[in-house]
Amino acid sequence: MDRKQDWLDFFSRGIRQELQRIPLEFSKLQEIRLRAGAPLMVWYDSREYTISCSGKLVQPSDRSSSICLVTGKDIRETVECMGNYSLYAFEDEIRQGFLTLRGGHRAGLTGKAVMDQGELKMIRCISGINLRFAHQVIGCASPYMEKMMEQGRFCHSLLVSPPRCGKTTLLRDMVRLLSDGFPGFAGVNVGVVDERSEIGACYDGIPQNDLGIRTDILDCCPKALGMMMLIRTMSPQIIAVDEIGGKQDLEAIRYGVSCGCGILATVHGAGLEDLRQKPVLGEMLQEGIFKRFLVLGHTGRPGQVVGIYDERGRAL
Amino acid sequence: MAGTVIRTAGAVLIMSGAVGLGRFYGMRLTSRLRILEELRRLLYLLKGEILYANASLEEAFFNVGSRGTGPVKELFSQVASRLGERQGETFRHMWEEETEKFRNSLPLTEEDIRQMKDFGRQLGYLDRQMQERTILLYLEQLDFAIGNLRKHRKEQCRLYTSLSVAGGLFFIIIMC
Repeated sequence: MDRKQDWLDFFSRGIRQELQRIPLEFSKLQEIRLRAGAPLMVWYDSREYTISCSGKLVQPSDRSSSICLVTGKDIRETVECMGNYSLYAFEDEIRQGFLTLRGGHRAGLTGKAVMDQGELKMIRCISGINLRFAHQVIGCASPYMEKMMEQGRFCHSLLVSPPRCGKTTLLRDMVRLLSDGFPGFAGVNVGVVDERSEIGACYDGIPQNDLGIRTDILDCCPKALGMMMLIRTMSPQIIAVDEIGGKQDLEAIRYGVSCGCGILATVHGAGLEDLRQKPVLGEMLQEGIFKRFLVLGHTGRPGQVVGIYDERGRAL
Repeated sequence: MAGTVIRTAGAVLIMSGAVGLGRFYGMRLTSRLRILEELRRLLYLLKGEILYANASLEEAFFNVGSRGTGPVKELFSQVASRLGERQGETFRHMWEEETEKFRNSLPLTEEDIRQMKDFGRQLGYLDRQMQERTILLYLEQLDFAIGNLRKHRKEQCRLYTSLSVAGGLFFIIIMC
């Protein structure tokens, strides 16, 4: 998905026209935010911009030029385009506040929550969209792979990262390397449970990202259920999942570990101390399931690890 | 003598034209019935695609279109192809444009076209339950139209033929 027309297809005609006028390089494009009645915001090359009416990227603080504003109609039409005119087919995703698009990009949604018996039924009157672009950075995990090994065996590893630091990008490349193999490690069968289609970016069941030659992907399947299914059916040596955190995830990870599978997972968090405060993850840490912790931070480049720790919290 | 021959020939031509006209309108009725029946059949398939396969509209219209026949197949395939173009238009707009093409080329009534457009206005809106209700509502309307058409087709065909023959005879009498 590096042709401009491919990602422009996600937007309504009005927004498309605005974006089409700007020479944007896809590899530097990180986010596009639409809020009803607010300027169209673009995160490009790690900087935030708005778009002027003359079709230029300008700093949000720049008040000299008139700014392109997003209307409610733009948002409604964009949601329709993103959902391929079939929002009913994305009910479960919308209930969680996002839509996964072709290419593994993710659109976060905000609006009015409709509750039913204490549970979120749907989000209506959508008034904000945050489209986050997924980029595959081949080789970004290479410098860290050696530290995730012990006597030639893969150690259960957890990638800890605040949002927008590139944990999924790093996970994707790790899966590729573990599957294809790298110097000192022959590739193994890797099972990926891709609940939100972000890792493999499957389209019609076929991954559009390179996840390696020995990778089996279970697309759009809940993590806990998917991990059990993979273990029973595909005999993976390593299972990779994104954004764990629920009790069921912990149960599935325990099951995977007891079956002899290596676990590679990511989690939202600022660091190890932060994880210890969280109920399920704290329990997971106490049990000492994970042997390696890779902590990511805001370094300006996605997928940059700021610290690697063992199960006792010692820096490696 | 020549005048009588010409008159007779004219009368024969008028009568054949009148009978032909009656038959033409009768055939339009039959053709409308076939189209509505095919539309109903494809709607059942569309319902299956949406409710059980959770297919997007593009996929559902494409799959159903490939199983259809005649002009309805064309409509479904055309809608699928427009959805695939991702031009940023609304579904409602695309559907209305395609049904308009239908109006000009097929023997459907204004009511048929109105119901067809209404169906497209609701499709894709809200959740799966809403899709089901929208399709069921349209199926109900189609059942009613088909039932009516079947019930009155023969007498309407006879009426068309008799009226056109009577009209032809009337014209011949005036001419003579």
